[in-house]
Amino acid sequence: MMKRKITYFALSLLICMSLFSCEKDDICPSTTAKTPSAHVLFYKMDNGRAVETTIGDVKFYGLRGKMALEEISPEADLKSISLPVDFEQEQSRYLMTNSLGLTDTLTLNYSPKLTFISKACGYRFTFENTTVNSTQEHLIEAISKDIEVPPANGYLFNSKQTCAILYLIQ
Amino acid sequence: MIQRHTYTLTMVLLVIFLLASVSCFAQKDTTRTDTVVSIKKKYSSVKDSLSHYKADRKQQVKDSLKIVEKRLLEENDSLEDKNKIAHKDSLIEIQHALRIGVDIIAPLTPLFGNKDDRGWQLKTDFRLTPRLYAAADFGYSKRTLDFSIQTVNADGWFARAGIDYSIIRGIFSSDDMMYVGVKLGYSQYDRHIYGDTITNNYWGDKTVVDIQDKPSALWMDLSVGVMVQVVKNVYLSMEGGYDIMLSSKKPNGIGPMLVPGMGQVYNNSAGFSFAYTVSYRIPLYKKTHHMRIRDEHPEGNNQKEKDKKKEKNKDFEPAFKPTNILEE
Repeated sequence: MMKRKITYFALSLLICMSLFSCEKDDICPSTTAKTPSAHVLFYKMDNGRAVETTIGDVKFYGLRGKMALEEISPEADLKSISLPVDFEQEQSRYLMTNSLGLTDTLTLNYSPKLTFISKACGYRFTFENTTVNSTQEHLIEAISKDIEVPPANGYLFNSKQTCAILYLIQ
Repeated sequence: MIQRHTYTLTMVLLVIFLLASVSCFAQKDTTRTDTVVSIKKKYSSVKDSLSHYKADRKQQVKDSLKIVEKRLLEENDSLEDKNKIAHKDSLIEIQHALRIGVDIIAPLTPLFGNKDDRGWQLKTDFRLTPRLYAAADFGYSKRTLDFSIQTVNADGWFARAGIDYSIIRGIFSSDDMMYVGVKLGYSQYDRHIYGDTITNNYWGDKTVVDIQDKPSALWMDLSVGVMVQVVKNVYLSMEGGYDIMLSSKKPNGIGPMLVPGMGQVYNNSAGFSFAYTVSYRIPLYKKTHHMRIRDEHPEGNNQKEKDKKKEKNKDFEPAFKPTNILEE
């Protein structure tokens, strides 16, 4: 009885010590969400009904002050676009032009927040109090802002969320 | 014994009968007939005493069986009251002592991890009852852990307090123990997280993560350990612990990654600790305690108990010894 107890003790001590010395190597899975981009869908009004549409000849450029940066290309199906969000500022502006030179500006306002993902993955930014606005002069007929609708309530945390639906004039 | 005697008796009788019958068929002689008559007489007397013996022996066996039955019933009753293993309540005088120990491994952390790591740990325990010890630890730890993405630096003090229960005591001396312990641990530390950068190539953003905060953590420590006396009043102990986080402050939304006293935290809740200590025992005072210990010798070396046992076994000794028969 005593011998058995002693062996159990010794075993459990050994197990404890081995567990102590062994440290797992965490790897960040590639599917984890990173800093989100603003996802915008394109619709058009067709006989009073909202229908999905392609971007047409509209081109998106990021705006820094008055300078336009590189063109942002839409998704492969041309029906939506993922706009990169500037997390060092509290506002991102995008210029929309078509082939005739007509423009409209899309503005995003938010508060960036440094968020912890995990030990292995590190950090990313998420955006709180996100609001989307657009000038509706030449290209945009209307804008519907999904990011303000519950459950998102202005919280942009992954790229699959729809930030806004732009109704293009076609 | 009865069987042996009857056998020999019958053999003897057979031999005598054979001789007698042989002598019958032989020439008749007056001397020979006399011997036959005397043999016949002896045979009858032997037969009588044998039958007497048989009857007496039957009665004796019956009596002794009755006594055995009575004793078995008694024992059964007493076994139902107590445990099967006999225990006895005894008063033990134990030495209450305070043991203060220093962890030998903790100051060697610079050799295992980062060169800037530091640490020390003090472990004390105090005996409450023959098996229960009140234990408390206090220490300081500064460790840096390098993950692939980021580096975490935790710098702070920790304390643990709880109870050690010795399962096996007195391996080589009276204060040795193999014990399990439950302790509550608390730590407050300064944390510095750095190393990760978040970039956005479109806007040219590059944010370097550099966070400094002061979290705290509360955990439960389940430990297993051995403590052995090396020389008088000097003990060597080895203890391994599994820690479960109870509550932790998460400043900046970042959970505990490295906690002093707990080590690296896995899944935000589990940690492992290990300590190898040399302690010195300061004897304080002696006190007697009631303890139920296993009775190794239930009969005991007491003369009184030996006499009792003899008295009980008296009924098994036959009063009539059958060896007397043949001497008649």
